[in-house]
Amino acid sequence: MMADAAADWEALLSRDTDAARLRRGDLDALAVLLARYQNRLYRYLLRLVRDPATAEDLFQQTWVRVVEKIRGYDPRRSFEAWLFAVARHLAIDHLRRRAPESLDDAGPAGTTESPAARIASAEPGALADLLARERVELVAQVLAELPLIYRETLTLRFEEEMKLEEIATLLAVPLSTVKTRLRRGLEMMRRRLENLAGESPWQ
Amino acid sequence: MAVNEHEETQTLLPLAAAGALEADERERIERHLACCAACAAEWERWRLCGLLLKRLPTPQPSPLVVKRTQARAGARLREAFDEHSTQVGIWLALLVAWTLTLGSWVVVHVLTGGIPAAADLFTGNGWLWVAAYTAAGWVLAAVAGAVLGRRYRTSRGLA
Repeated sequence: MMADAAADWEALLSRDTDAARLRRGDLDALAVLLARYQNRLYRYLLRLVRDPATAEDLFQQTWVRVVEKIRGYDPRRSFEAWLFAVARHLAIDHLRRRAPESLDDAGPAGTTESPAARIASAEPGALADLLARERVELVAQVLAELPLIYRETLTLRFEEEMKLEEIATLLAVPLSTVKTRLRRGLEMMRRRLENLAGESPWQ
Repeated sequence: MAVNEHEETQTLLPLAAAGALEADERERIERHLACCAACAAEWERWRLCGLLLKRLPTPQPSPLVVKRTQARAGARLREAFDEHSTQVGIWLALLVAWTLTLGSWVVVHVLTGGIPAAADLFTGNGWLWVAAYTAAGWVLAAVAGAVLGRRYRTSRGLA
């Protein structure tokens, strides 16, 4: 128990040290931080904007903004939370520039046939293998189709594994709002999963 | 079994799947689930919902984008620090100019009229001359700083 706590503390200090080194203009620290957060940051952006090309563009913009603003970063704060806040601002600005009607209604780009439809047309022998793979696609599709405020909260909680307080700080909303969004998001997701796939594919 | 307890459990199950319950809420739910088969079945569905979300594969940016990002952000980092160093240099130059301006005025007075003349400086119209002389020094230093900054930005293609 003590060893775990010490390891956690050490990891936290190391992260802070890297951020502090970046603040002093250390290029190696940039490489370390980029490698550490690249997948999580990209996933978060992709969940927000739903388009891989846009997410990659925002990914680049985020890191450029980070190095531009690093002098204003308070080392006492979590670098992770600060990084995600920078990314979030850029993504929200991008979404606001888009046509309002497409802000939350559009599904992910390039989807022509739903996973449920593919399951229905699959050969019986391949069905078992297909189900596992399709289930993941189905869940990803349903998550992508949720309104922004719900898919963002769900991805921060379940994929990024952020604490509720961290999510509240990042989104600048009260803790109760985070809980409400989590509950409604999950309810919406389950309802859509059941509508799309009936009982079997996701269970 | 209380109807209220059953309804409360149904409402809280999604939050339980998200690990967002307070300790007392969690205890109440656990007690209820132990004796309510319908809620226990519901809980399994919500739990699965949460698990599916946690197990979604993590999409990754292409290595090319990561490499390009590192190059672009690295270049911007160097640029930002160069700009900062230049700014610090200009402010230091301004500070030195200001100090020299004040210092030289006193030194000139000491050399030409001795200590009493330097003391006289702070009486009568002496302050006015100091202010005018200092302001002129400041303006000149600011112009020099602006010219230097502009030349620097132009040389780096930023202007």
